[in-house]
Amino acid sequence: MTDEQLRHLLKSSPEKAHRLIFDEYYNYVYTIVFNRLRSFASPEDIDECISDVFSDIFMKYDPDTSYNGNIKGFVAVISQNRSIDMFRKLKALNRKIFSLDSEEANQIPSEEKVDETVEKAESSHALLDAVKALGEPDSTIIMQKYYYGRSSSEIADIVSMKPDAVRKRLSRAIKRLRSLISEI
Amino acid sequence: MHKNKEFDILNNAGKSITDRLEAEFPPRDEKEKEKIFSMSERKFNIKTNGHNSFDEHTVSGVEVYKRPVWQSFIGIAAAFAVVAGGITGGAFAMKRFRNTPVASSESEDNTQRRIAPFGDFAELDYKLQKTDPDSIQKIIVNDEENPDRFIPLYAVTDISQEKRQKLADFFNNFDYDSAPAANVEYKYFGTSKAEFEDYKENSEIEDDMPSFQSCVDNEVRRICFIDLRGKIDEGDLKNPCVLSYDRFRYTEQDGQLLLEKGSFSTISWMVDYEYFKNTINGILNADDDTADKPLSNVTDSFGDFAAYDFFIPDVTKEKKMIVKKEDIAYWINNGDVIPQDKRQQIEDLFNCQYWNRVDLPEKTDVYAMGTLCFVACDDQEFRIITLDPTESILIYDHFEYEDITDENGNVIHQAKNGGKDTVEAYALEYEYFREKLYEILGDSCPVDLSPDSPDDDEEKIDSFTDLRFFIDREWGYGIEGQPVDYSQLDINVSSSNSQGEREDATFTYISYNDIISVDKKLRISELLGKYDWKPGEMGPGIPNSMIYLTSKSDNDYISMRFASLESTGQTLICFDQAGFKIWNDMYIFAEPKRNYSFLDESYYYVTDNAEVISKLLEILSEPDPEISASLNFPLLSPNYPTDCLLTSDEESSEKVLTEKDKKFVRDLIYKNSWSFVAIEPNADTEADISRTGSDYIMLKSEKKPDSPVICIETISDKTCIFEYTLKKTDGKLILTNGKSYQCHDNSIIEQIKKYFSK
Repeated sequence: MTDEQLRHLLKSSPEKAHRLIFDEYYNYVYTIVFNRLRSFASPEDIDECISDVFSDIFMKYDPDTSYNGNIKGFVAVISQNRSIDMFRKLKALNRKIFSLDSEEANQIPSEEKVDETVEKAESSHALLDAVKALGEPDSTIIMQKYYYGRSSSEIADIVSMKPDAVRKRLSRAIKRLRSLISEI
Repeated sequence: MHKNKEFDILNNAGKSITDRLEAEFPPRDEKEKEKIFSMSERKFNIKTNGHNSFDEHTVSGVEVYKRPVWQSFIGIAAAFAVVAGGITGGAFAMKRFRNTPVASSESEDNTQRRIAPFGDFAELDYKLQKTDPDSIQKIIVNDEENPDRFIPLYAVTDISQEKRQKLADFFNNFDYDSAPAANVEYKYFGTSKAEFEDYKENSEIEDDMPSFQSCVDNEVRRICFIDLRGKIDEGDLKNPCVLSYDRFRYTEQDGQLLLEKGSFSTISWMVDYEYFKNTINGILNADDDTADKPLSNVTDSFGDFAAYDFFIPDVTKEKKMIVKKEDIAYWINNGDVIPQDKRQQIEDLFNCQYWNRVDLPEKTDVYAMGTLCFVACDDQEFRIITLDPTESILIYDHFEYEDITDENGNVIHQAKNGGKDTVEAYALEYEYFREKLYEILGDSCPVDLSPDSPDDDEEKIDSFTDLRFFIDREWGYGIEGQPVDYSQLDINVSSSNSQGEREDATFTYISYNDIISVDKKLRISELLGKYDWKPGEMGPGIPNSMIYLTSKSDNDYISMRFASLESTGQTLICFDQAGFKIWNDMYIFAEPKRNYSFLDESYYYVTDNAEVISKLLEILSEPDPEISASLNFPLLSPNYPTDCLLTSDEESSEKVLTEKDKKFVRDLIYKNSWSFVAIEPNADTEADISRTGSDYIMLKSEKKPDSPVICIETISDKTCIFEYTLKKTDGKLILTNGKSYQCHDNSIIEQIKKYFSK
């Protein structure tokens, strides 16, 4: 479906158009929002943020507008902005429970910071390559577990396996992944 | 949530990564997806119906340990239910429960009491009117020529002065909304006798809603309520009701009571039927014998406040306890128990009002969102009273608990009887209670209860148009499409997850190294000051920003992105702000010390002018007179009294520059375009410079205090000049940095070396 067609559909049947936009861009929005918030927000906050993004898209994607950019770019901008909003919101909520005075501050790990964005992107790609190299279903299991933070039983549903089997595969897969990464 | 640090590298990733994640590793959870879709649709519907605000609650005193899973979804469902009911009740309810006895904006004159628009109920001799067709005492003829139309005067009973005063307090402190004229026709005034008989037969008014009458010297004032529930379909109120205030005089003539011509006036306001009925009856039915301990319908719950050792959790103190109820848990901070006499005063305060029970707003986080909480915890019983200004409700919860120990050895008070059914919510006039509690507790209360007063002492930057915030700070800039030099600012944030473990996240900000000179800063602020900037909404079309300005101090960071909104011809500035503390060379999230109130209002400002960006670009790209003036290095000037010596990473022996050599270096520098830069040189001594390992050329004179040193270095593919001065500290000569410049031409050092190798 082209943007043009979508515009027509939005005029004639907004509900259908919403469903189409949602199905088309759900993964895209999810990926962007999740990527920004995963270390910081609860799954509920992330869901909340994604639904904010879509309600925004439904609201603001005006079929009559002369804006002729790609809807994907538009979706990306909203996703980013909404994630930042959510971050700020959470930041405001978290202000009160963050204390620097206690020993807790000592526990903040000094992760190795990559200075250059490029370097970071390279490492990220390398990590994804390594995960990919595990092959299915292990790469899905690994990503669902460690990136998306799902439980073994949730993953079991996704890959149509038993939770026990998922757990076993997971422990083997993470070992393999570690050795793959150390080779890089 | 299980996490693996190795995967954290994927956070905040660029497009290439997110694209890959989307394509190769999609989230793949259909259930969640459907849930989110219906959430989105609901939100969309709510927004299109003009309901757009979900207030966030901030927590104070009591901390949310785990956000309940149901909360976010139910919150939306509840908000939606209000809309679906075709009722715009939200605004009304807010207004209704926010009857501020003394609005803080009017608080300059605290002695000025608020009075109901129909006068002070206590001042006039109002009596309770028995609005019963059988108790008509007098008939006032409306129209001499048409004696068929009449106004009935009902029998009255006295109200004690004390109750009158309470009613007056209640009436005086309500915010009245005028009733649309159309609703007034429901009044049974001026009925004909026949109509009245009919009315007597079918009347439904008797729903024990009282009405009042004052009759002094043939002048009648009447306050009555007309129940419009189910009679009007305008969706403003849940329980629509007209408060009608009639005033008229009558004369006695030949044993007949006649309405004095032109004396009749009536005014109406819309009120909530249930609220008024309950409150008025609560006051009227209170037992006079216990007048000292008047009216309270809450003695069984929080009304016996003094009996328990209530304290107010103080965020500045240690954690005292963890209380769990169902899957929600709260960390409660320690606090000092309120002294008995003050508790008694608070108890009296709670008990002097009829509390109108309301439904707990479902989006409410049961008892942890107010700014002010009272907590009592003894004998395995837990009590909490939360005063929530946002919802204007008081929430009371009380349950028995037993102590359990979790795997970390924490003692947790686990509620025996869970659920929301033990929670009670009451309509609250927050402002009133805040003020009263402030009178009782004063500054001893760990939550600031003092009325907001304008802070004259503190210099506040109230509006964005006051551009001091811009002039006072040092700004770096970046222009889209131009090579730009920046440093990365990673701010670490730490928070607790559902297991109570600390989780850390890093947020990356960019800080541009090209510094805007003071002169340009003034010109830019002049430019920005010309336009009228209004707080804007974040629209969908934040296109690529053209100009980025960043400013980093030792405790905060602000960025301004300038973008033009092509569709509307506007220019938008997006702000971002972060505060931090530096701890062990790490940046750790903290409250920004300097608060710019305009940023509290909005991070987005727009103006109706499309040219701002091009003018800004013009200013930024002009050669900077300040730089040319500043680039005038005395060491290289023709008749400098001492020799200029040159060393480099390749040539450690010192070479004395001739006038011609100096001219060459000078010209080479002036030929290029330089900008100030925020890069700090990595040098305290001369040796430090040679230790950096990169290409450098050092120009110096004799080793005497205050003598200049110029170091030209290549740093991240750019040429930088650091102008140092030698200073004597503890007997040693060290370098102090004066100014730093940079230039995108990275061949300068090479050219100098080439020249001198000849």
